[in-house]
Amino acid sequence: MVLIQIVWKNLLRRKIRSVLTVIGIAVGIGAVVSLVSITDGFVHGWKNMIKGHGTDLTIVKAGTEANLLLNILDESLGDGLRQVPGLEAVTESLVDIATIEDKPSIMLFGYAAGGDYMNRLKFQTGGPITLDDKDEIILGSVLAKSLKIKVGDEIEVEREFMTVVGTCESSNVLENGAGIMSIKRLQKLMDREGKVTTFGIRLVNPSQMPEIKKEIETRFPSISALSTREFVDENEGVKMAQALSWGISLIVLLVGAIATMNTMFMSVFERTREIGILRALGWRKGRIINMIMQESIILSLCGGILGIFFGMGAVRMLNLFRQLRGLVQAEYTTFLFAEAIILALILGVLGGMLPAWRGSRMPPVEALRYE
Amino acid sequence: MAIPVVELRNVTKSFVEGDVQALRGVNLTIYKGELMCIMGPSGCGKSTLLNLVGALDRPTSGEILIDGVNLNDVENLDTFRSRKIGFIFQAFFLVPTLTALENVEIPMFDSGFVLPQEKTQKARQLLKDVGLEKKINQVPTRLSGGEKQRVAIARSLANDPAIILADEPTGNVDSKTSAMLIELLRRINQEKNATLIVVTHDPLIAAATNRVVQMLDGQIVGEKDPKSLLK
Repeated sequence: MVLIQIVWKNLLRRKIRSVLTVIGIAVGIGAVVSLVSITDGFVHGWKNMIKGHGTDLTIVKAGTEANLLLNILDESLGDGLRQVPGLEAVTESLVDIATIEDKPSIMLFGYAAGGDYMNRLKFQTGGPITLDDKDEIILGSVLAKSLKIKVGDEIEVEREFMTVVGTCESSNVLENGAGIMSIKRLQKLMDREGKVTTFGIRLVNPSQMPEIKKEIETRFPSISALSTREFVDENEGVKMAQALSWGISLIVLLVGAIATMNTMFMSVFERTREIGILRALGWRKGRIINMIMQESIILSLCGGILGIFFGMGAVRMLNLFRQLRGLVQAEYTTFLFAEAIILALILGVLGGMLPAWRGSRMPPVEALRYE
Repeated sequence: MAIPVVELRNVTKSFVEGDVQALRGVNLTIYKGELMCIMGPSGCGKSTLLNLVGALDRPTSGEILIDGVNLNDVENLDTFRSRKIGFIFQAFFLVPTLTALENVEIPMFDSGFVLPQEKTQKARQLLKDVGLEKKINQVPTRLSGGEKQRVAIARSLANDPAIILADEPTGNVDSKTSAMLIELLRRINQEKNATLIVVTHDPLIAAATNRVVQMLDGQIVGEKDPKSLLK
């Protein structure tokens, strides 16, 4: 017989309690897995969208990197940017929030008609907008589905009627849930003539990015040139989502550790005499600690593994809701699974430490007298 | 020449709680291969003495030598206990989730490096020695009181200890089982030359031993001829 067999039998002694503890931990770990995977999925999708546009550097107003919607640049800046050597293309875009049909707060992207961004969209039906002043709109796949709109239909955007000329599928949930118009038409619609949100720059030689970034920021001190990673990671929304995910993880860690500790304390109290017997028969304090810690860690690891499945299940469940379908995009990485298991492991160690210490400190004479 | 295996030199034990002096200057020598008994009324200090000899507790003053080792010099009593002392308790104290075989293996965990299969082999042999070869896979709840105590006796022998301490070993069994257990303890004493120290109220058990030490108010007050207890 080896120690793990004793540990296993101890856990099976109170099956319901062990199972409930595992489920409790699994729910917590599941919450972490689902939240972090959704945040990661969003970030990954956004980066892919920018890469899909063929953008190496994104130009934003200095100091507003964190919030895309606060970012307002003069369109004329584009002419100055085009003078910088080493740039293959400079493409402006505008982002705003509008009401489409009865849906408020829909994101609208404005790209140059017939331009690079417009032509790189992956169309499910229809095609790109080719003329600037036409009342045309392209819908992201999720938005088109939720509005039950097809190419050729007319929809109301900010009290003006637009014809749907295409539906597109993007790697990013934002674009999938948004409308895309020609930048000129969007500027007019939103009273933002001559204004853009960002400029996307494609470099002739991407390996020259640091030098060109420096050159742009020297020539135009009021703007920042950000790589895709910087642009996404600096975003306020992304930072908030990441902070929220990890904040919840910390709460889960605390609650889970207390739940595990409670279970282990009950288990140790119940076995006071038994631990006394083991100590009387020569078991070292270290072995008692080892036994209780193994019990705690097994419970939390089982909870961790089950929690990964709970988390993945929760994301699938969210996608079953009509309003959320297609908007919840999770990214599962080995790193995330490793994080979940490490979190569970920390939980097991934290939850088991105090009961193990207490169990090992029991004087055998007193423990044997315990009724 | 008889070899002393337990020596108590002017041992005292006081408990701060209740201001009780449980042992008052006890001197006692027990020799290798003895089957001896400690008798006395409740509260006379028998269990305290057993706890001290069993290295479960330390004396307030005085010296205890087990197999030549002064317990005052032993830092880690756990390992010492595991290697030198076997215990048989009145309430058996078997681990309820483990089988008879696994219970016998318990003391071998911290007695030095033993391969798991060797532990199992030895436990199996010990259970065979106490006549439980057919019950090795039974958990304690499926064993009778006598069988439980036989598992506990097998367990006490697991590490070939210098001494075996038995605290009221027949206290929880009927008279027939009690007689059988006494016989088993005698056989172990003779066949294995094990030193057995039995604490009991039962004159029948005491009569089956070779030496009876009488305690009263935390002191040893004399010795009796075991045969005289049957009269």
